[in-house]
Amino acid sequence: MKISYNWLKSIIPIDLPSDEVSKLLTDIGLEVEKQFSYSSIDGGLEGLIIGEVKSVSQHPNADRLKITSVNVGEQEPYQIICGAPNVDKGQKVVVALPGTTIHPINGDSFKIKKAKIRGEVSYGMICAEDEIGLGSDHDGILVLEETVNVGVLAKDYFKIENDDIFEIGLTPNRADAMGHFGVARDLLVALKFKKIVPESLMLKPFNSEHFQKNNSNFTIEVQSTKDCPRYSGQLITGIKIDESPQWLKNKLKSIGLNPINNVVDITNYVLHDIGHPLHAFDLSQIEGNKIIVKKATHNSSFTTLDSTKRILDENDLMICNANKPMCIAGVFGGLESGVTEKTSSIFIESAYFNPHTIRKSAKRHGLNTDASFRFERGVDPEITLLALQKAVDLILEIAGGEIASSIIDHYPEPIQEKLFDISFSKINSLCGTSLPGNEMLRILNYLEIKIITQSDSTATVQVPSYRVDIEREVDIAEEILRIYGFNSVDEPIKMNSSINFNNELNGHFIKNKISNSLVHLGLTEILSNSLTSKNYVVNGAPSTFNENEHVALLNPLSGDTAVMRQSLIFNALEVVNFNHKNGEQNIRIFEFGKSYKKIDGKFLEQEHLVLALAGLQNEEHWFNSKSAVSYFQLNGIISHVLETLGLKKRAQYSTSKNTIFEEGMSVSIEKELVIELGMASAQLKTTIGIKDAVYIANIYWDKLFNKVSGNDIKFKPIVKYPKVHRDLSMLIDNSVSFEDLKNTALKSNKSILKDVHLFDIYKGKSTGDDKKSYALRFELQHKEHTLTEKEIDAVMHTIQSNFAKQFNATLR
Amino acid sequence: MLDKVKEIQSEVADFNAQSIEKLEAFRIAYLGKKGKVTLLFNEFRNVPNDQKKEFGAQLNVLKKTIQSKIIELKEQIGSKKLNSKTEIDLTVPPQPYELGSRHPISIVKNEIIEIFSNIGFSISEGPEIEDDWHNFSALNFPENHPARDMQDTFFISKDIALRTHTSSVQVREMEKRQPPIRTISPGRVFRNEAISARAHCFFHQVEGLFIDKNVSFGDLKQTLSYFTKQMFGDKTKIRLRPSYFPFTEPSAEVDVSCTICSGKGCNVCKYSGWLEIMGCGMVDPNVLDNCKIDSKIYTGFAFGMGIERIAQLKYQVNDLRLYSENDLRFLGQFKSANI
Repeated sequence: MKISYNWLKSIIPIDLPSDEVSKLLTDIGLEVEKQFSYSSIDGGLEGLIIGEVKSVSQHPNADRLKITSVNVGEQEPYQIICGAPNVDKGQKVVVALPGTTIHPINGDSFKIKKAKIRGEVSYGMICAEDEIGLGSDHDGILVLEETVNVGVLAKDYFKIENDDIFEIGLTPNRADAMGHFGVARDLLVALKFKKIVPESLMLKPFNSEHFQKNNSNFTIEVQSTKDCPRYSGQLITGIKIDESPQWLKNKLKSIGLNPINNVVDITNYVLHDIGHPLHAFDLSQIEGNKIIVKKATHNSSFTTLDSTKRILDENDLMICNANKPMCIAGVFGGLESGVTEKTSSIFIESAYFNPHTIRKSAKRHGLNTDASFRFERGVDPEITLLALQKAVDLILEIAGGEIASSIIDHYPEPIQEKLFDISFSKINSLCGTSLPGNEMLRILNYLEIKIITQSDSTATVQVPSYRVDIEREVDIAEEILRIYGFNSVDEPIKMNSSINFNNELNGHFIKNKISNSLVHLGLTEILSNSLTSKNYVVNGAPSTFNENEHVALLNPLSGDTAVMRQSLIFNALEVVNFNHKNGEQNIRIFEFGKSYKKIDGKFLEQEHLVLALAGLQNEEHWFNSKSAVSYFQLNGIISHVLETLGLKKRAQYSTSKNTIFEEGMSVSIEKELVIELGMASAQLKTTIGIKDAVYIANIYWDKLFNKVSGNDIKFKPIVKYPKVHRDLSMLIDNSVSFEDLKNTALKSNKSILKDVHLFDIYKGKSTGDDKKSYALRFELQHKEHTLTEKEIDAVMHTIQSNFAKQFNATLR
Repeated sequence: MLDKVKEIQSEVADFNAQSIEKLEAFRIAYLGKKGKVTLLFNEFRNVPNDQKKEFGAQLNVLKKTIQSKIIELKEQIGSKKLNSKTEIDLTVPPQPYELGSRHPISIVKNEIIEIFSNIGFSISEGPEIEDDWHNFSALNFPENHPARDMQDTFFISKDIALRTHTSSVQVREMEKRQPPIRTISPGRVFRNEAISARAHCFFHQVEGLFIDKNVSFGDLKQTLSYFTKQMFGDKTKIRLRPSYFPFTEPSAEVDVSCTICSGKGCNVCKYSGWLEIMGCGMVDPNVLDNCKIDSKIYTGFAFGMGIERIAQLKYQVNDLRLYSENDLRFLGQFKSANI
């Protein structure tokens, strides 16, 4: 909302620097988001001066040019070359001397320089109307009235208005400040409290010398008083629709409005002056001389001022004539009933509509007009007549005509001003202040909040009708604090706190711990959008993601962000692809985030940890051999995570059938799937557009986290007897897995075999195509004595024979 | 026998080793299982009794001589190695332990959480797909009220939306238990705004809530002062401007003195000296009543900030899109952030 400082000053007589006003407004909750200077025309005619043409002679080298001598009030006149046909001796003209910047109506501004034109020096320019932005006439130079004094500044002569404009970010609660009057009223409170102006200073009063005339032919019928508690208006006949006078145009232009015609401009002026929207109807369009305020018929159509046909329903409140609707009440006028050049009689409406009714209509039709903006926030029901009178006075003054009816005012149930009690100590305790009661009452008095009764500790207050936001003691507390100053409240020295007991596992802490360890393993954390493309869900991997389960937005920004993701894998692959395109081939990333599904009408949000690896394991380096990322590296990271969470021993691996993988494994704990990992399938990569191998892991974090037990570490005595290692190199079928061998070995002896490691894998000529060689190391230890060779041999023998029996394994 | 001892003694005296390997061979040749000196010890019982005493003494001296010679040579060889610079280049890059990085939003989120944890705030979380009650109605956004326009909302259905703020989590916390409640709720929120350098359709917030008896606006100011000093340095000042949020009354916007120019005026603060960082206020009694907390007994304060905004000020990130693009050239700049 734009507020003109000049306009404010016409309401309260102050003369403070605009910066100071801006700061005061912000301090009381009318935040000035931007402040800028405004001039009624571009450049404000700065530097232009009125001069008199003393002589005119023909230019020796050009037929169309004349040499003039112009007096601008200095000792010597200036020689100026002029091409205008109308230049003549004795004329009073506008002169731009060298150094002046002029701002033409069309084209860019430019600086006037001393110049030689066809051999003759010209000290500046005699200006035409369009050359200095005053009008569009270019038939010749602008000739002023003879009485004007030489040397007068053009900006003074043309009464150019320079103004400071405050752009206020009005919060929805401040319906009282929706116009210059309201802003001035609130500013005055702050000025009085800060003792910048005397307490006796009042806003400039408005006195109407308003005439009334009986007119029994014109009637008003309000069918829905709930939606339209008050409807006022008046008829004026014999007006002349024309351009507005300059002062009115300037006022509107200064706050960014385009002047239209005098009547429309006056209604706009009143709206921005006292914040109350008015509407002017062409009386000739009011069929039956009757206004009916009623709800629309369902599915009827109506064409608004912008020539748009809109379908109405029974919630739309309409201003109708005897036969048809003319205006969507408080929102937008109709095409047919508005004021046009031909209009000679009008009905001016000044109403108070129910904010909810207006908001519903405006929302449904996607309209946000200056009127609906104010009505839906709640205008002052007591101001309709003042607004009406102000508008009618201006119309009579500017557009002529005469009053043709009495003031119509349909207000069957006046809205009561709110009345309630406040307690000074409660307000102080909420604010953390220790203001005396009379100091609070002083502020309330400035705010026009009436004190009905008062005691030492309490008061009963009555709130003016324009403060729709004040209903309770806490609202009064805010008002007092707002004027007293949020920044004047002292901070207590000691902290007011309370203790929270919480024995739950700290999920935030554990996620952080895992994230930090992944960072130390060389992975980088990403954060990606939860909103994604519908295509990913449908085409990406049909077996994992279900179109029926996706959570779709009713009002998406675009197709790329139309649904909630069902998996973070697509995001991770997008990031791989994005960085590939930026020239980074080696990528190791992870993300903690949610997937979203809708199952049986319920929304399911699940936390995931997703990892993705592509390119080389490490940057190329003398120390490392160059090796590409692999399933084994990924599994190593997964294993690290499991160990950090104390879950490594409970994890069981099996082959994954998930089609997002070319090859992959599933990890379960107590038969519940907690992790899937593997090489991304070709189809999945094609969806994103990646060619290189990518390894991905999807950890179902909620499920995995559920398996974590908080406090299960108990010290076990350290075994004093040495560990022994024995190695076996086995030749086995390709189909035999390490997991099979390990499980068989551990089953063979449960008491002294502690662990099995794989320390070498060999496959070559000596093994044959269908066999491989695994070198296994067995770790043995007894709790109570040093193992003897005999004990060790016995265990190793059992393992070896079980391997032979089950896997046809032979020693190499 | 004694001759043999003397012979070995002179051999030992002449020996000089150049390498650890040769020294080890020397040790084995004399002191090993089948070494010359060991063998002499085995001969001891064959020595006539009258010579035993002298032979034994000589033999022990010999053994000690060899042992100390080995130690001496070992030290010599070791120190020679250290002094030779020609063989190994120690300036080559070290064995790589590549370091990844946390996302700056996580880094800043953790920092905020830690600051509030230190003054007794717990962490609470809640769903991102939220119903009208928790995101709007309970928070005193009346239906058909212009306050609903303050946040552009993504809807899933008429009554289900993507939460526009984590205040919804606060409602859930208040419904769960009676005061005292002292909690912060970090999380992802959504707004239906076109993606640009200055706006995004998703971002992250941390909101805080403290409800107890006798909680005041002064307490709120104190908490926010503490936070901003911890976050931006102890010279940081705050300024409050009256504002409006449906769920707080009074409501305020919080500015901090510019983190770049310390309030003198610069490009970042648009020469105002102040930067807007969060909203706050005293919890509106309607909200407490909606959550079955008696507003006649309890009062409280709430505040909320965008993590992206704090990170922007901390790291001078000038484009919101950088946070979700996940360009490794961007993320890699935060390796040494303190988390």
